[in-house]
Amino acid sequence: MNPRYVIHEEIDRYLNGKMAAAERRLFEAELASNPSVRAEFEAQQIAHQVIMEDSLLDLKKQMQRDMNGGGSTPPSSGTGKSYLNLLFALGGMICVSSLYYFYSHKTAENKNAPPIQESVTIRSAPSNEENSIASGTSSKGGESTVAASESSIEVNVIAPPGITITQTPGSSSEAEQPKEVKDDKPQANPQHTTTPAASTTPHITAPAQPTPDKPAVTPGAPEPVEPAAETRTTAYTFQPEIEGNWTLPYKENTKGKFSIVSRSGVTVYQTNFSSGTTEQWNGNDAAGVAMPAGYYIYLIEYEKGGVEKGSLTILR
Amino acid sequence: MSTEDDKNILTAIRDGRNDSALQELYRHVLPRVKNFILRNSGDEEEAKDIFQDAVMALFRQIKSGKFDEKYEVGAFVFSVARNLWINRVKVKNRHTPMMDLEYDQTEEIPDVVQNMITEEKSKAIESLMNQIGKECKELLKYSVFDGISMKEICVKMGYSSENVAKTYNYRCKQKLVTLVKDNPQLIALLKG
Repeated sequence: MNPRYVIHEEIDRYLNGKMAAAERRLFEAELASNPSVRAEFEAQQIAHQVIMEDSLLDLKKQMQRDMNGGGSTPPSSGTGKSYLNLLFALGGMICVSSLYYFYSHKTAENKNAPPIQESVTIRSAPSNEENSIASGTSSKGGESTVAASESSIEVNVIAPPGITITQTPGSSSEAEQPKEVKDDKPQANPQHTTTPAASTTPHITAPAQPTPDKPAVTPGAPEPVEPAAETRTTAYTFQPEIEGNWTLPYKENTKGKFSIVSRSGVTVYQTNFSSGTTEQWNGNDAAGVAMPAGYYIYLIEYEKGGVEKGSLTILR
Repeated sequence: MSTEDDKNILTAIRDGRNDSALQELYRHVLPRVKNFILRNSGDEEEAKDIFQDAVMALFRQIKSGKFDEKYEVGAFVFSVARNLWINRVKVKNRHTPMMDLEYDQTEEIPDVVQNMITEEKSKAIESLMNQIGKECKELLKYSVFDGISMKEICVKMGYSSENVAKTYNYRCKQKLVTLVKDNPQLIALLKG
């Protein structure tokens, strides 16, 4: 047999604590007297340590997986199930809240920005046609561009917040924006020069500016608004026997719905709150049953939009 | 936690049944650790992190044969977690009074807290283990960390015979030993 293999086996048995006391002493004597065995031993010892630590790191990762989402003691039976339930519940909450955001934002935009949309249709329709056709429709186009230029004051009022919002979040949208503006300007100008009303108003570029802005608003705007509300997760603890009641941590002077969800995804408490009041929870569910100690999630859905959530640990 | 639970955890870890050991620890020890940390100005995430590090320390002690059986497993994990948390609070320089220090174990836990693995070490270790490949990593985890027999490894890895498992085990370890020898920095890091 390969002598290196034999030494390896010996070292292995020593490191794994599989040698009896007498054998151990012999091996240690060998280590002390034989430098080549000692060198091999040290390298192998470190290799063992590397394997140990690596496995421990894997163990930590496993624990993180076990605890993530659930956040606390997964019971030994049905761990996967409740964990999945919670994942679904969380996923659902996120979906609903983001949908709600998207929707509320869109409707708000539609109310505020009809002139912007108008200017889009004007520009895009003639730009595909010949100049002569564009001048033929100039009566129509002229009217609406006038309308657009009239409302340009209004547009300008709306535009600044739109611009400031899109410019703040990231450099990437900033970089794209001027590019689009440049692309749009040469397209917009030749058309408008055909219409006498438009040519006299240098302001006419103003409606063109908000337009590149518009597609940028949809992906850009929810970003700065949403995380501010969404990521406010806080961990609370509540000891019903000592504290009696837990004051629900929603923002003052707001209206909305407050829910407490158990680890397995069951809503144990729900109430609507309105401005000027403080609601409290005594730790019992609707049937008056005291909720067991453990980890819960609270969810605040504000009527004006925005969701906050966090954890509540009940200690009994 | 009963002494029987304690023994169960210990044997589970020794036999390489890590999952069942973890489940027991989640059930019996995690709530206590969490309770302690939450009451001492920590949050949920910090409690989880400290608990995980304390469990790592327990496994390290047991797997390397250094675990002194005069400690109860649950008390050991809790004490390590408490010490880790006190250390962390000191580092953070939070002048928060610690409330729950009444739970004082007279025996001092050996230097497990000092032995905690650093970010630097864990990165070096992970990169080394990535170099020997997935199969070797898995095999060595079974043979060295879990300490399960070649026969079981044979089944788990799908080898045709115990000898094949032994040969692979030897080759994988030699691969790692060679890498370690070529890496004096890591040796210094792990020894230091």
